[in-house]
Amino acid sequence: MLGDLFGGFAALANPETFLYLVGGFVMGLVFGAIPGLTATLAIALLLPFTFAMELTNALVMVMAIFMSGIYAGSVTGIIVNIPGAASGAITTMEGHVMMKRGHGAKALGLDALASSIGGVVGALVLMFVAVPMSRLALLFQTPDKFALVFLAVVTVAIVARGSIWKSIIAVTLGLMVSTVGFDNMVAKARFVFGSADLIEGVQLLPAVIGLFAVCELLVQAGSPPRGALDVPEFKVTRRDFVPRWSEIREIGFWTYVKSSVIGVLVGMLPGGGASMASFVAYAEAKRVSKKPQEYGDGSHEGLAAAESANNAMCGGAVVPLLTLGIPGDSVTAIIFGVLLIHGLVPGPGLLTNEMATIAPMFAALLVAATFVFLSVILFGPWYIWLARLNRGVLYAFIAMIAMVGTYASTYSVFQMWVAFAIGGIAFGLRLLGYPLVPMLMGIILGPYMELYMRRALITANGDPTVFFESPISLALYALTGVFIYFLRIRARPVA
Amino acid sequence: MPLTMTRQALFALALIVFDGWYLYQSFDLPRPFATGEPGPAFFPWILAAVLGLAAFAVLVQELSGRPVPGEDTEGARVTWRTVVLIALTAGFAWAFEPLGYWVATALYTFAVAWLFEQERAGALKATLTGAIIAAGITGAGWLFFVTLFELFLPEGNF
Repeated sequence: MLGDLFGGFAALANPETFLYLVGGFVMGLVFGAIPGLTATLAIALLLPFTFAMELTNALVMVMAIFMSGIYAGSVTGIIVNIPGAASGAITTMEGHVMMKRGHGAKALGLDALASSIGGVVGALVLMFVAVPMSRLALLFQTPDKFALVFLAVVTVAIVARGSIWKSIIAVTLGLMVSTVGFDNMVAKARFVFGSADLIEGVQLLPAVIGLFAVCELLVQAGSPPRGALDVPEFKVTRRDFVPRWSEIREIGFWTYVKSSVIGVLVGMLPGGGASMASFVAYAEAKRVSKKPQEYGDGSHEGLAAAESANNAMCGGAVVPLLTLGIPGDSVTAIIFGVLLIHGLVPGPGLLTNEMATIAPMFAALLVAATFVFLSVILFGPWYIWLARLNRGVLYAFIAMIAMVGTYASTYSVFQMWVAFAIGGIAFGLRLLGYPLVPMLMGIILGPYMELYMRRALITANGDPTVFFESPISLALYALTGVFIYFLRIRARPVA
Repeated sequence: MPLTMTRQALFALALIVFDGWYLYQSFDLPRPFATGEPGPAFFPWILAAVLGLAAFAVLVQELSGRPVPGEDTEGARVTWRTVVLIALTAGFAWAFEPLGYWVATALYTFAVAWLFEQERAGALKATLTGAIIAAGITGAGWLFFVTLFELFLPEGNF
């Protein structure tokens, strides 16, 4: 097996393959950073071209897009408070506060370092413990999956600053939005009011665009012309993007490792995804933090925890795909397609029979993770330059990308209206001090929460004790209780 | 203690009304466990109960003179520019297919750029810079979406 793994790295030494890696990485950076475009869309666009590509090149490019796309979602979040993807929401919360204080370079540096560490941990896990860990994921039954989603939803509500009631309202509104459309278990449309467009429900992309891009545009329109976009430190050098050793020590090596492991574990679960990974890791870091009061106010720890978990998820998400043939999210579902196109069937036996073919994929994930940190040193000053761009150029560009990006990825004017409507609601909520991230998480997690809840009740003939029978469920509920105790009760929150 | 209807309390009241409407809509769905399974109304009923409870809690706190703290609003406020931007974005969504990408996007980005530029640069200069910005962004958008990634954008019903 080790020989195959080395062979994977050797494959990257081929100049053509290496170019595909770099090309994929840059493509992921662009798609991940631009609100409305995602790593999923980038890989989906690449799919037709993989027919003509050599398998190694296709796999390498796909993995590079995956890694850099997940990372880049946080770059625009830090710079202009608009995450390129939902998974960058937590990083945005912490990083943009740092940016406004003139510490943008530091935020971007810590963000990239955490992403690199998380990505490397995820890739190593994928390489060495993929098979045994996939058996762990198999142990999760439906009530356990519900308990996990419940943990994430509760966590989302309690980590937000301010009133717990406002957080609960925000997350519940998100969950309500997720109930619009065709029911995922019986042939029944809900809350569609006869509209054919609403049948498929509110898609994630317009929701993200609305909650962050449209809402931010409206906030900026109401801000005074000068000082609305706080200018970061006047002059930055590439060295400013390299975190100081004291800052890394302050965050703690254990925070990086633990968050990465959380990211891998969540990534392995179907429906887990980068957003849930970052939330759970963030909540856990806050729980054990010596400075929990800094969370939500530019916490280095919080930023590092969320971002490590985000990118560690990449390695974790590929584990069930390769070992069990179960794609856990949309990106891995497309990677499934890439493998099938080239005659490889993901599932038991793939790694034992085709390890040499698959190994470049692992190597690409690891190398792309290290590229993340290099990229911020290389492109960091340009990222900062974005924030100092003329407001007319910046917001006209964001407005165009947000609305046209929504259309281009859905081919539906109706989805532009959805983004616009959600943006208006989000602006109203922000005016009244309601947090937006819990609402987004409600939209993301709602379908899973309902599906697992109903499935569990159906299999138990409506007996609610099914949720408390498995040790895994009980452990997850206990963890939920621990989070509530440490993050709300002991922390003496307001209201 | 006199009851004061604050902005927050009014919003909580609006949420309770919305919640009642959401619950009412869910009555059109099959009743939970009517056929032995939770059904499509079960989850919405739970959500309606949670939202109602939380909104009621905010309302009671506000009416009893204990303001409910929230997130930092980061200077969010409504000005004439906010209203204009809302109208422009709605107009863009409405005109995107009939006018096509080029015309609709050029007009929209010009208006947005002008809106953000006019207080800093004055109306005339903002018109000139807005036109340049709109031309650049519209062209760049086409190159990016259509030329580079071969996505489809409408060309208008002319």
